[in-house]
Amino acid sequence: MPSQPTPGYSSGEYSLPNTRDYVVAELRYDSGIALLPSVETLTSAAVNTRNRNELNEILSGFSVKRVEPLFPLGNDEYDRRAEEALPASMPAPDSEFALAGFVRIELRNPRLSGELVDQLKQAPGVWNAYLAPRPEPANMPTGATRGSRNFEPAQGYLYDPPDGIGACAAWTQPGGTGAGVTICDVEGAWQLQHEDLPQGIKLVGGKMKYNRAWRNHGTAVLGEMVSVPNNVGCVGISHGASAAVHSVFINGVWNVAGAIVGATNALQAGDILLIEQHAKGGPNNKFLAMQFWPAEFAAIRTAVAKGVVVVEAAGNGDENFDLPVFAGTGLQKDAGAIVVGAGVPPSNYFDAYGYGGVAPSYSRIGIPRSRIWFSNYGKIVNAQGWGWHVTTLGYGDAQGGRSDKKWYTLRFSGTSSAAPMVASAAAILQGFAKNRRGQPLTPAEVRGILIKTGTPQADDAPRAPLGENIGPQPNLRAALAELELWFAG
Amino acid sequence: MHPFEQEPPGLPPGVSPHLDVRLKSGWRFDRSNRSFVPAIGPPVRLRGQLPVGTKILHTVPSLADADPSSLSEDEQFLARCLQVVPPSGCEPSRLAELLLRLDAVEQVEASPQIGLP
Repeated sequence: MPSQPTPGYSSGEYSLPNTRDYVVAELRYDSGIALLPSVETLTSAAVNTRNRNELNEILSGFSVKRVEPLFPLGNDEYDRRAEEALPASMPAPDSEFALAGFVRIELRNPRLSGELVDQLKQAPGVWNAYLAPRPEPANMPTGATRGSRNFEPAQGYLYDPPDGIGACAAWTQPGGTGAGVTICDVEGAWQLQHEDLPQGIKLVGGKMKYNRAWRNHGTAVLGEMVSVPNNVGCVGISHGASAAVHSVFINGVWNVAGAIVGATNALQAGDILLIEQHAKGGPNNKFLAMQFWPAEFAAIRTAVAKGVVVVEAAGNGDENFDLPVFAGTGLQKDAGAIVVGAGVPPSNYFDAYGYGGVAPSYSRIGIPRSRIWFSNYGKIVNAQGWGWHVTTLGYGDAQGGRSDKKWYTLRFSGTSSAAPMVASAAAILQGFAKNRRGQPLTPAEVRGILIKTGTPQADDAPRAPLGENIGPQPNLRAALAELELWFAG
Repeated sequence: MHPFEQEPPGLPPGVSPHLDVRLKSGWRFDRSNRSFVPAIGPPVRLRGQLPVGTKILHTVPSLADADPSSLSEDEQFLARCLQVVPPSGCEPSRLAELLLRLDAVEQVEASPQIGLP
């Protein structure tokens, strides 16, 4: 039976230095005794022989391996301790005087150190005695020593607005995890046996085509939405929702329209359908949202008419959907979907990789929630999500290994990473609505609330002015409050 | 999209290139007889008109046999959408020319280059 990951943090592995236990005795300022370096018995002026003798007698009862001053001071300091007995309760005249009273005692049998401490504490010349603490590196937890690490702290998109979408706050509400809602992801491949995905995610149509990039992509999308909430890996934004997948490969042909209708047939009103595809088209031959093509446009409208909320990646073509050349196409008509653009996340810098030369390492991407450079934009783009460095499942740059069932990434990006955030937000609204009033919202209501209550897009002119519309980022805290008022009224 | 994993160009293995074909309003594809059927009038049999081995698929298989009167406007549109896979050795552009000669066909387009957003 394969070993299961052990949830939770533990300290990293390290080896202790070869140290032995020893006792520290701190002599009283008024004892008039000292331990001179290189003399392994305590010394005192003639008037303090009682204190000295008692201590030497205690030590003689043990097999002492070594006794020495704890601090390396000059001989004069120890002589001073042996000759000067301060009146009781007088403070030390200086730090050297105080330090010269610390004695380090190491026994041949360290197990007897506790007994030595007890006896020293009874001695009149001793202020305090204790077993020296064992040194250990003051390191922070570094992750589980067995099994997979917990990446939840890196999922900033879960947190409160304006940085995140407020998922954590929503989870405390009835239905606020998306319970009772199904999300169907439409793309080409997934690792459905990933350790952090719920069991039983069904392929409801089409056939998966094995391709590492496609499989990582699908796994990352599911991970954002429905990762299992535990101490391993990630936690999905709408982890209470059920997930299903529909492949775009039907009868050996790429067919997004067919997949949308097939997924719709497997869903109920109130469920969520996520389109994670884009394709090249238009006069500039850039990647566009799928509703540009008439069949996909009609398929989306068919799903929306059934009450299914369709969430669609706007695509990574850096294209302006409002150009006159797109007049009359699906890029300037409302299919009823929530079209999602990619926004700059709060962690708004490239890493060392610099995205393969797109930008210098560690250079700035832009103001958070402004349009990221590759995202398509225009009036039909309704909402945004993080389009860069999203922590989720797959790819293996955060945690790799031989099996992609345990891969995690810190760098899922694109309108691909943005759209699942909005899809999950929609699932949470539907879960809440079904719980509170027994029926889901219409697709138009879900879209309207997400737009009305979202954290506004940021202006980063001239790089990415507000005119390059990608819409607001969901704010689930505000959206649920809005729904609460709506239901109460 | 992931900065460390570039998507391989082209279709995944096992996926065929195809043409997106739309029939004129009122026409449908009859799989069993391999013909285009108008609302009124005789069907157009495809035997001999297209290269041997040409594969014709409904874009939305669930609508293939549906009664048009029971479909929404969008579904009626989708029922007219087909995917045509050229046989090996046949240039898609040549197949597109042949398809456009048929009365039933309104539009033929090469399928776009797909990608993961």
